[in-house]
Order: sequence, then structure tokens, then C-alpha cells
Amino acid sequence: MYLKIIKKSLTNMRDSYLIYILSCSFAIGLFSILLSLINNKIMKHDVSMWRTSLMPIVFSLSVVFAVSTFVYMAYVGGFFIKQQEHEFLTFQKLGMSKFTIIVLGFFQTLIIQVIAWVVGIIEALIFQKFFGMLLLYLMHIRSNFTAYLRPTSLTTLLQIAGYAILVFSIMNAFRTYRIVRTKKVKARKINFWMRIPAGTLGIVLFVSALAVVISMFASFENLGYDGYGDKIVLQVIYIFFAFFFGTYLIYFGFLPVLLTILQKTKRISYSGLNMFSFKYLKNRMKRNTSVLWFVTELSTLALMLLTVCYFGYQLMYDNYHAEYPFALTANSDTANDVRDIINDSKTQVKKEYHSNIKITLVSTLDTSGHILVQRPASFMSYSEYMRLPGKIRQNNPEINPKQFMRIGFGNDETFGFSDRKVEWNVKNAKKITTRKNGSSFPYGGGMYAGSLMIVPDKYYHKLPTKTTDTFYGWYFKHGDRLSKKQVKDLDRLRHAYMISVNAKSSLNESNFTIKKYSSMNRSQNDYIQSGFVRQESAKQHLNQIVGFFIFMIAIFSIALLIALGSVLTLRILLRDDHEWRQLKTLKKIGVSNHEIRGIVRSENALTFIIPLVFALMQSYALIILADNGWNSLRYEFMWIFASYVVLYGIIGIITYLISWRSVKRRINQ
Amino acid sequence: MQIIVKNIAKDYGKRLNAVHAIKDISLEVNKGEFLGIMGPSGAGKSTLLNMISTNERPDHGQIIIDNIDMTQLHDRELAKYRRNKMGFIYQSFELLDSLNVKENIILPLALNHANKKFIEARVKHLNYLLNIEELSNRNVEDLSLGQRQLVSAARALINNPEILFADEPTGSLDSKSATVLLNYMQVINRRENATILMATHDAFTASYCSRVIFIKDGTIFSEIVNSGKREDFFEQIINMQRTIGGGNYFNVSQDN
Ligand SMILES: Nc1ncnc2c1ncn2[C@@H]1O[C@H](COP(=O)(O)OP(=O)(O)O)[C@@H](O)[C@H]1O
Ligand SMILES: [Mg+2]
Repeated sequence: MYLKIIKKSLTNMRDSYLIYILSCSFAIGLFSILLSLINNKIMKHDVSMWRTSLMPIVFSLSVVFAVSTFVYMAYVGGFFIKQQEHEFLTFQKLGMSKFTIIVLGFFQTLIIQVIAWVVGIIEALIFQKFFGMLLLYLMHIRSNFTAYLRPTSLTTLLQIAGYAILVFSIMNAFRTYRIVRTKKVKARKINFWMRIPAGTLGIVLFVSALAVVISMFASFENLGYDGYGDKIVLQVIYIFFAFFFGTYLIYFGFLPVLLTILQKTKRISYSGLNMFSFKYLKNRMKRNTSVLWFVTELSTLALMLLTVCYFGYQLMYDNYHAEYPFALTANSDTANDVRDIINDSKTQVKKEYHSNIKITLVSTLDTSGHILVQRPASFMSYSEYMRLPGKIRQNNPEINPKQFMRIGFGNDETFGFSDRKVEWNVKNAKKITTRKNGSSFPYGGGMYAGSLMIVPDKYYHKLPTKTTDTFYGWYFKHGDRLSKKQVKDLDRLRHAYMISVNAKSSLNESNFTIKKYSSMNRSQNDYIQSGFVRQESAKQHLNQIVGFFIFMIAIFSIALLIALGSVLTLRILLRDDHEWRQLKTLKKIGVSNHEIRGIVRSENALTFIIPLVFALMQSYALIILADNGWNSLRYEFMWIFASYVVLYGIIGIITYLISWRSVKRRINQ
Repeated sequence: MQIIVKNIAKDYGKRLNAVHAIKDISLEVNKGEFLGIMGPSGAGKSTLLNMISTNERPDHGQIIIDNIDMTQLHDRELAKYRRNKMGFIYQSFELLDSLNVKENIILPLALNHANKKFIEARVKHLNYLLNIEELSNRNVEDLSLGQRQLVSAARALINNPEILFADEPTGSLDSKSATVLLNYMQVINRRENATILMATHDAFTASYCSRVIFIKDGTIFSEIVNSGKREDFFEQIINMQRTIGGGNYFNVSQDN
């Protein structure tokens, strides 16, 4: 008898349960994989960073993952009990004891949970190798990943499974208890008139936040580097607050009111199914307000996370390329010594290249943009620049023979200032105003005491200066095979000389002297000129870190997406008896399948599009936090957003198909 | 002949515990006829009505209405046909809880995109006739069973159906309301020549019909025609009921 009841409710909600089981087992599988990665021998052995820095990260991420999975499973698991409220109450009316009903709820959950965990662990066993290999691939590590779930990990996992199954079942038993306990707290009915002011406030908050965002964009474009003032911090706090609560109030107040108005407008509602569908959608919407809100804010978070991560990745990558051109470099003083050192190495030099530069004094605005400072700068002619290996130039904007290009520190390019105006007063020469800005220094950033300016050949030849230098660079075959001793020797040659500026009130009267480098008596006006040792290991580390983060972020965003999608899907699929009856009744009074399908479709659209639109609006605005020159990343944001929309859309369509299938099955019964 | 039912049969459930709700029924109904379907609970009255009204498809046999074979039509055509020509009073009312009384009543007209003024006029007329004006803005959930039955009758009648299907339309009504409703049905039957098929187990209700068929265990047992005088017809029905089943079919049951 009990088994029969359980079996019946399982088959009734089989689509929903299937989705729940799949998403749970996906989460469980990923969690198991994360666990197995922590203790993986290969990772420990082959990846030097693993033990020191990456493993703790994986560990804390798996804790975060576990907590979120727990919340998800507990929260969503409750949907199913709530679904059967009516049924349980009927059982109770028919004289079934409370205890029996609670036991029913308990075992139903137990069965589902056991299935989910078994599937999840099997998934983990199957896909562990795949995920490990993917991780190694992304980290640029050529090593064979062996699937390895240690018996201890497995027993830990099984223990966790046991506890989780028990906890979730008890939770649902408790939920069942709350349904059948005699004294029931009647749900408060929310007054319609409360929704109007709430909705208005929500709209005001949301729109004002949007306005603040737009004004911030505008001011940032003019401000440039000027940074985050107090006002901006306040604005950002306001935006957060207004979006967060505004969205809820809109869901709570505005949308139901809007549907009510539509439904009260006879011209609209008296035609076709509208009268029913507006009310139906409104009821569904009211019931799902918090879920929709929850999904919206989490989607916003996910989008922001993705963008920020992408942004961080790009920042790191660009900076890295700007600073490390992966070549050994020297200047005319050290070139011969360096050549000697690397000549007796097993390393084969692939290419040697060199460029002439001139050094003179310039005065420019400092980073604050207010004070003029005098400092040395290097100049390279256009034709000399073009002779450099293309690989060095590829991260800079392209220029023509008549253009100037400044190559400087900072992340001008990353932040979208590759087109920013920079003015240089050059000693005894024509002032330079340039709109091209690059960040990748040929020969590495350290070689230039200050910035580098690529100038037209004519300008270069006219430039008066007493100091010139020649920079040398070498590319190697097969990476870096320098011995420890060689590296040590090279390191000694690192700092070539210092340029000491003697500033006068007028730039043309100021001058500079070249001194031998010493770390002792270095003053504020001294600029160091240093060569560079190629660092293959740095590149490896970068690759590993980047790969690792891509892996983690991918896993997390996919998991988040699946979780959010499945919450929405389940909300749509799970209709209570009352709602089923209504759809069936429609069928009986002559509404065609086609029209009922229309209702299902608009319900789907509403449930998926609303959170998505609001999330996109919010996250697009909040991107400003990560960026202060928004133009540059717009393109990438579009990609991230578009892929999010596509994935969401796919989930939405699948949900629609499943939903319609189950509705059709029921109404044609 | 407006409705021709040819050898239909319907089973419910799977093989082992299958219920033969309708075994083999053939029937012809003229346009403008007021046909009563009687029989004890579980005899198959509702099932028969559901099949003729194309709510359910028979396992075997044909149902031909206005020379169209309903068993061959596609869902969308069926829906359109039903919406335009048929009205239904269900035994279980089938009202939409989320809509209020008025909205429930006008739904069939709204579905046909009828003119707003026309809708208002129709609903006013029916409310007056069935004496349910005060209910207009009430929630369906708060109504008594009898009130619900009147609302569902109003909904069935609002678009002047050519064929009205009524499944125990007076089952929950007091005798006064029942008489009002039956009289109205008789009016539309006579004046507008509407065909009415009504299932009932109540002899008084059945006495409004022009012809009554008796079904038992899924087959037609017998049939009586109203010769004109209601009192005589009522007597005949009572006698026939005695013949069929010894009298315990007066139990009012709310099973489907
Ligand atoms: N949806 C259904 N599923 C299974 N059996 C049904 C269903 N509908 C009706 N029945 C069975 O078919 C038989 C005829 O039912 P019904 O036509 O409702 O009888 P009546 O309306 O004459 O009381 C009954 O035995 C009933 O239990
Ligand atoms: Mg019946």
C-alpha cells in the first residue's frame, strides 16, 4: 500500500524528479571530482604549485561547492513535498495517521536521494579522468592523468553521501510534518493595494540605479585615470542596493499589478484566453516571486563573476606580456658578456636581434594628471621598430610611418586607453602629442628608464641627444635550458646603469648623467636601466594558473547555470493539483491543445526571460566596477552575455518541451 | 438526423482490471430533440455523453454529428467545433477557480472573440434568468454546490449552443432552481430548436425530455418516448426504473 503510494507519486512527477536527480548527480559528480583532484598524486607530483597554492584553493572551492550544493538540494528537494500538500492532506482526511504520512515523505526523499548519489558517484568515476585530463590540458602540462579516487576519498564520499541522504530525508519528513500538523498557520494574503506602492518604489529604485550607472559611465570616460573617489563608492553602494531591492519590489509589486491591469482591461481580456491566462500567469508569478528574484540575483552574480574573471585574466595576461617578452636582453655594455655566457650553454639561440635608441629628457604629466615631471625617455625610429620580430609588436596597436606611439607601463591598452592622448615635451625638440599607446616593450619594460616612444624616422634623426644605446635580444629554441650558474651570472649583469636626472625649471636646461648602478646610493631622481633574464618557469606558472582558473570558473559557472536553470524548470514543471485541474477544465470547455500550449509557452517565456533580462541589465551596469574604460571590453562582455543568453535559451526551450509534454499527457488523460 | 452514434465501445484501465464502461451502444438523435439518458450510477451515462461531446474518443465505433465523423477530426478542429456549437454542463461543474463567477460564465464567448457589448448583454440576461446576479463578482471557491451548478449552466448556455450536453444538471439543485433551469432548457429546446442530451438518474428531471433511453452496464436497455403529458411520462419512467434495478439507483452519488 505505502509502496504503491510512493510509486505513484514518483511516476506522477517523474520528469521533475529526473531533472532533480540529474542536476543533483551532476553536482555530486563534480564535487567528487574536486575531492579526488585534491589528493591526486599526479597533480602533487607534476605540478609544483599544486601543493603550495592551488590545492588549498581547490579545497576551499570544494567547500564552497559543497555548501551551495547542499543548499540547492535541500531547497529544491522541498518543492516535491510542497507539491503533494493536497495529497497528504487527503490521506490525512482518509484517516491515515500523521506518522505514516511523515514516513511516506521520508522514504520518498530517501529513494530519490539514494538514486541521485549513486548516479553522481558513478558519474564521478567515469568522468574523473576526463576532467583531470582537461585540467592538465588547460594548464599546459603534458602528463597523463590517471584516474584516481583513493579508497579513503571514496569512503569519505560515501560517508558524506550517507549523512546527506539522511539529512535531506529528515528535512523533507519535517516539511511533511508541517503540512499535516493540526494547527495550521494560514498563509497571509497580501493586499493588492500594497503591491502598487511597492512596485512603484521598485521601479524608481531600479531606474534610478540605471541612471546612476549611465552617469558614471559618462563621467569615467572624461575622467580617465582619476580613480575612485568617495562619491563613486557611494554611488556603487547605491547601485547595489537599488538593484537588489528594486528587482524584488518589481517582481513583487509591479509585474502582478501590470498583469492585473491587463486583465481588468476588458478590451484585452475579453478576447480569447487572455482572461484566464493573465490570471493564471499572475498567480504563478506571485507564487514564484522569491524564486525568480533569487535566480535573477544569482545570474547577475554569475555574469559578474565571469566578466571579472575574464577581466582579471586579461589583465594578468597583458601585464605579463608587457613585462616578459620571453627573450634574453642586454644593452651595448652587457651584450658581449651575455653572449659569452649563453654561448657555452646547450641552449640553441634561435635568433639575435638589436635596435638603436636615443635617450633624452622629457616632461610629462604624472599618473595623477596634474604634475609635470621631468624624466628620461627612450626613442626608437619607426623603421627600427618595424625590424623587430613581429611577435614583439603584435600586442601593440599598428602604426604608420608618420605616427607616434608611446609604449608605457600601466594597463592603458587593457583599460581601453590605447587611443588616449599623451603629451610629451621633449628637450630641444618638437612637442609630441600622440594618440597611439602600446604596452608591450620590445626588450622588456626594464630596459627603459621610463617610457619608450616610437617616432617617425625624420623626427628621430633630428632629435638632439648625447646618449644613444643599442639593445640586444635573443630568442631560444626549445625553451629555456640555462643552468643555475648561467642564470646567476646573468643576474649579475642585470642592472646596466642608472640615469640621474638633474631637473631645472626649464626642460631645455635640465640634463642627466649616466652612473654605474648601485643599490646603495640611489636617489629619487635616478632611473635604472636593466636587462632581462628570460623566465621560462614564469611562463609555465602563468599557463598553469590561467588554465587552472579557466577550469574552475568553467566548472562553477556551468554548475551555477545548471542549478539556476533547473530551479526554473522545476518551478514550471511542478504544478499543483489545482493548476492541473484548471488546465484540464479548459480542455473540457472547448479550448484547443494549441491554445493551452500558448499558455504553457508564455509561462515559460515569462519565467525565463524576466530573470534573464533583469540580470543582464544589472550585470551590464555593474561591470563598471571592474572597468573604468568600458569601451574596450564591450565586445567581450557581449560574448559572455550572448553565450549566457544562448545557454539559458536552450534550457528554456527544453523546459518548454518537457512542460508541454507533461501538460498534454495530463489534459488528454 | 443530427447525431448518429454507431456501435461505440469504451474501456478504462489496463487489461486485467479493465472496466467496460460502454460495451456497444448505437443511437440516433434528431435535431431539436431533448434526449434523456438514465441509468444507475456507474452505468456509463457520463462516459456516453463525454464521447458524444467529443471529450473522449471511443475505442471502437463512430460518432457522426452534422454528417461529420467526429472520431476522424483533429484536435484543433474538434476544439473549434465544440466551442462554436456545443455547450456543456458537467457533473463536476468544471469551473475555473482562478476566475470569478462572471469571468467563468463569459469565457466561451471570450474564446470566440465576441464583441464586448454582446458579452455584457448576454451575461446580464442569463444572470437574470437563473437568478444569480449577486454572485457575479464572487469567487467560485466560495459558492455552494447548487450555485456552482447554476454558474456552470449559465456558462453552457451563454453562446446559444446548438447542442447542449448536460450531465446531471440538477443533481445539486433545490427543486425550485432545478425547475427554473429545466424550464429554461425546455425553452431553448423549443424556441431555438437546440438539441439537448441530458444524463440524469432523477425521474422528475427526465420527465422534461422528449425521449429517454435507459442504459445499464454499458448497453442500452430500453427507451420511452414522451407522448405529450408530463405526468404520464413521469409514471412510465418510474416504472422502467423499477424494472431495471429494484430501486436502489436513487442513490445520488457524485462519482464522475
Ligand atoms: N477515467 C476513468 N477511469 C477509469 N474508469 C472510469 C473512468 N471514468 C469512468 N470510469 C468507469 O466507467 C464506468 C462508467 O462511469 P460513468 O460513465 O461515470 O457512470 P455514470 O455517469 O453513469 O455514473 C464506471 O464503472 C466508472 O468507474
Ligand atoms: Mg456520471
